[in-house]
Amino acid sequence: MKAEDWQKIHEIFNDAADLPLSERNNFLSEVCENPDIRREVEKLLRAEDSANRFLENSAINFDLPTNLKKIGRYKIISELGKGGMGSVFLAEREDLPQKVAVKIIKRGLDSEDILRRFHHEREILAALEHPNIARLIDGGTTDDGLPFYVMEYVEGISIDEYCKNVNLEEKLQLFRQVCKAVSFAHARLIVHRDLKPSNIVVNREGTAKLLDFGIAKLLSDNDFGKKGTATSLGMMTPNYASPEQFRGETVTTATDIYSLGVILYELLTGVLPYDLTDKTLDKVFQIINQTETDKPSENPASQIPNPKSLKGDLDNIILKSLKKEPERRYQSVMNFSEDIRRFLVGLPVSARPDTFRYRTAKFVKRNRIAVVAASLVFLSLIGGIIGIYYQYTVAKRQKTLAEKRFSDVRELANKVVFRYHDEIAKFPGATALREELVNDAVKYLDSLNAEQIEDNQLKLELAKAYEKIGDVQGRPYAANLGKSEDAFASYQKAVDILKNATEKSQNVFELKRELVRASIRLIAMKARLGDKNFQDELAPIVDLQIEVNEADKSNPNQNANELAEAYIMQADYMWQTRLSRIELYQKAFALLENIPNKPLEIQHQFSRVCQRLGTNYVWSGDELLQNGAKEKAIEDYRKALPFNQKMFDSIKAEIAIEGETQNLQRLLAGANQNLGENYFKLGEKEKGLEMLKKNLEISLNLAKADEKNTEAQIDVSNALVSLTEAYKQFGEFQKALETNAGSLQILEKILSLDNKNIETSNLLIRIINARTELLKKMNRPNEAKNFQSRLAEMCKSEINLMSCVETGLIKN
Amino acid sequence: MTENANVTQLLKDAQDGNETALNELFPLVYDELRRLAGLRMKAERGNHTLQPTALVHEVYMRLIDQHSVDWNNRLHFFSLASEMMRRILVTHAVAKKTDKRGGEVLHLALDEAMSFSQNNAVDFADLDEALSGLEKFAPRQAKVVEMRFFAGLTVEEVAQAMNLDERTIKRDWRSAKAWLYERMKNEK
Repeated sequence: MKAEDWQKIHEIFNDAADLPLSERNNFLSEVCENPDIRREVEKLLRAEDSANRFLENSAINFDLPTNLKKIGRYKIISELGKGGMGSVFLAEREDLPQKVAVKIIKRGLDSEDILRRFHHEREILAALEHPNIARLIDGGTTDDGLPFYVMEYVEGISIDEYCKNVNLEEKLQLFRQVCKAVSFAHARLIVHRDLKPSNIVVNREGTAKLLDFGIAKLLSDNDFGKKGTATSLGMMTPNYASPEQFRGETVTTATDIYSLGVILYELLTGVLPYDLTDKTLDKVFQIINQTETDKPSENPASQIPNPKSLKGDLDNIILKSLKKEPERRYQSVMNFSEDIRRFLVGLPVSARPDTFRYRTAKFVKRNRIAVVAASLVFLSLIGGIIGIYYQYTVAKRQKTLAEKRFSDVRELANKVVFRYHDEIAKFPGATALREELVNDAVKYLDSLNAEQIEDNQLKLELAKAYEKIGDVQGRPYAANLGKSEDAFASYQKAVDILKNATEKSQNVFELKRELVRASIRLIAMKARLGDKNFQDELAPIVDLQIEVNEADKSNPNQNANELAEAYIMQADYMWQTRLSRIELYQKAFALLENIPNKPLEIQHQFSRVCQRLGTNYVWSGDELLQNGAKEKAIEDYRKALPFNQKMFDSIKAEIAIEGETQNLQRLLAGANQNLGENYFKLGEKEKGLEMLKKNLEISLNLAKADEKNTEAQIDVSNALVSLTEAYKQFGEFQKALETNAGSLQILEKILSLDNKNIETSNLLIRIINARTELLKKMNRPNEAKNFQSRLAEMCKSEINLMSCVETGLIKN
Repeated sequence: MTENANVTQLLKDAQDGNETALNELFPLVYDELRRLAGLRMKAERGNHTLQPTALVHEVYMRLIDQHSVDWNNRLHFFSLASEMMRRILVTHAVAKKTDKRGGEVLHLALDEAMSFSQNNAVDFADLDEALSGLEKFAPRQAKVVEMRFFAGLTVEEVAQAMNLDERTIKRDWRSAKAWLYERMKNEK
C-alpha cells in the first residue's frame, strides 16, 4: 500500500467509525472517489466490529500480582477478563469457600458519570434474582474508594460449546431455561440487548446462566465515548443484532427475541442464519434488513447430521422469532418458549409459515389466548446500557393481574421516565436524548392506545400518561422540549380517549375531571400554535367542570380549585373585552377568596387569579389614560391595588408553606414589581420606588445564585427597566440613565449569545428607546441621535416590528 | 558500572540507527527484565502499583547511565523501550513455541508477566510480522501499536511521548488495530 493512500484510508475510516451505522454509507459515497479506497475503509470498519478487544490487553502486565490481592473481603485468585473500563476477577470470600466473580472499575475511570452508571447497574442486577441469571451477591467499595460488586461465579462452558454434544431435546430444554431468564428480566423492565452464546454459560449441573446483564457494556471498551445511544456499532455483536438495531432504532423486548432466535438457529444447526463474514457494509445492511434466511432445515451449511429433523414446527418457530418487523415476531419471550414446549410435547405450535398465517390470521386470532403485549420505552443513559420497557398484558383471564401490572408500569413510568427526564434535562446538550426518550414513550402509549381497552381506569391512566408526555414535549412555561405540535397531538389523544370514555359511560366524575384538565392543556397549545378555532370550545369546558362539581361534592376545595382553573383558562383565551375577562377572573376569585387556611395549591391558584385581576385593571387604566380619560384610569388603578396587594400577600403565604424556593422568590419579585408600579400610577411614588428596589434586589440575588440562567438575567434587566421609568418620573435623570445602562449591558450580553430571541430583542428596543428619551431630556442630543439611529436600524428587522409599533417608533 | 556504560553506548548507537547495537542491547535488556519479572512475582510490595510503564522506566533507569545520555527527546526513549519490549516478547513467544531456548525459569517468569486474555490471545510472532507490514506505509501508527501493546503505555502517555494530541493517537490506534486484525485474520 502507498503511504498517501493509507493516510486517506486512515482518515476516512476514523471519521466513518464515529458515525452511526445508518449514516456511514452516505458518508462513504460522499468522500470516497476511489473505489479501492472505499473497499479498504470498509474492510477496516468490518474489522473494527470484531476487533473490539483485540490488542486491548497490553502484552505485559504486572498489575495483578503486586496490586490487587483483595477486594473488600474477597481474596483475588486470578483475573477472568479485562477491558478498558475495568476488570473481572475470580475471587473467594475469606470466611467461605465460595468462588465468586468480582467486577471492579479501573482506577482513573471512576468519574462521577461512570460511578453513577455502575451504581445503576448494580441496582438492576439486584432485581434479577433468578436461577438462570448469574446472581449479584455483594457489593461495596475498596479501601481506596473504587466501587465493585460481586457476582455468582459460573464455572462451565458457553452454551454453543455445550450444545455440540447434546441431543435436540436437551438443546431445546436448555434454550427454554435461557428464555425463562430473559423473560424474567423483561418482566422487570430490563432488555438485555446483547444476547449471544458467549454470554450464556452452562454449568456442571446443566443449568444455563445468563451473564453480563449490561455489565459487559459498562466494563468493556470504547462504548461510552461514542454518542450513539441504542446502537453504536462497538456495542453490537452484529451476528446477533436485530434489523432494528442495525437501523439504529429503538430497542425493545422484540430485539431480545430476535437475538434468541439467532441463538436457537445456531444451537440447532451449528451455523448462523446469515453469513456476514467478509461482506461489505452495504451488503450486511441489505442482508439483515431484506434477505430471508434459509429455513434451519434447509441451510446448506448446516453442521448437524440430520437437518430435515428440524422441518416444520421448528423451522416455523425460529423463522417467526427472526422476522424483520419486530411486531411480527413472538409477542413475548414466554410465547416463544411456550411454542417450544408445545413442540416438545407434541402439541400444535402457534408459529405458522407466512401463507398459512395470513390465510388464517383471523382464526388464529380468535382462538389464541388473547395475550397482547405492547412494549416499550427504552431508556438509555448516554452510552446506553440498559433498556427499560413497559409491558402491558391484557388477557381476559388475567384481567386483574393485568390491571395491577398496568398501574405498576405507569407508576414506574412516572417515577423513572419523568424523573430521569428531569434529571437529564439538567445536562446541557441532552436534548436529543430527551427527545428519544419521549418518542419512545409516545410509541409505547400509542401501542397501548391501539388496544381495545374497555376498562375506564385504564383509559384514565392512559390519558394521564399522554398529558404528561405532552407536558414534556411542550407545555408552555415549563421545562419542555419545545415541540409544540407533538405536545398538541399528545393532548389531543388524551382528550379523545377521555371523550370517548365519558360518552360511553355516565357518572364517571374522575374521567370528566381529567377531560377538563386535558382540554385546558389542549386549548393552551392551540393558542400557542396560532389555531384560531377554539373560541367555541372554552365555555363547554367550564360547563363540564360545573356539571362535575354539582354531581360530586365530596371535595369542595378541589371543586373550587378546578373551577377557578377553568374560569382562568376561559378568560385567558377568550377574545371578548377586557371587562368580560375581568368578570370571569372575579368569579374565580370569589371561589377561592374565602377558603380558610388555604392549602398550597389553593393559595397558588389564588395568587394566579389576583395577579390577573391586578394586571388587567392596570392595563385597563393604561388604555383609559392613553385615551385621555385620566380620572377613569385612576379609578382602575385603585381597583387594581387591592389585587396586587393580595397577590403579594398570597405569594408570601405560599412561601410560608413551601419555603423560599427559587420559583416563589421569582414570583415575589414580580409581585413587588406589579405592586410598585401600581403605587406609582396612583402617585404614591416613594412606596412604589421602594418596592421596585426590592424587586431588583430579589432578582439580583436569584441571578447571582444561578449565573448561567438567562431567564434570571432577563428578570434583572426587567427590574432595571421598571426602576429606570420610576427614576425618570422622579426627575432623577442621572440615576435613571445609570439604571438604564445596567439593563442595556445585560441585554446586549444575552443577545450576543442568542440573537434570535424575540422577547429579549424587543426588551432591548424598549431599553434603548428609554435611553434615547432620557438623553433628550438631559440635553444630550448627539448621544440621543446615536441611539436613535440604532433603533431605526433595529426596527428594520422583522422580529422587532411589533415592539417598534408599540413603542411608537413605527407608525402603524 | 561498566555494564551500564556499555548499555549507554549501545543505546546511543541504536538511536543512530545501528542495527547491531540493538541486537547487542537486546540480551542485556532481556536479562534485566527477566530478573525484574522474577522479583515482581515474589516481592511483597504492599499496594505499590507497578504498571508496565513503570517497568519500562525501571529497566532503562537501571541500564543506562542517565547523565551521559541526553534524553531530550522522550520519543526516543519510549520508542526504543517499546521496540525492545516487542523484540523481547516476540522472541520469547517464538522460543516458547519451539520450546528450545530460555529454560523453564524464564518461561515461568515471563508467562506470568504476560497476561494473555483467553478471549484474545494473540500470537506475538504473527503480530510482529503484521506490524512489520504496517510499518512500511504507516510508521506512526505502527509505533503507536508498539508503544500501546508491547510497552503498555496509555494513550495519554503515547501522546506525550510522541508530542501529538490524544485524539490523533486514538485514531492511529483504531485504524492500526483494525488493519492488523484484518491482516492477521486473513493469514490464518
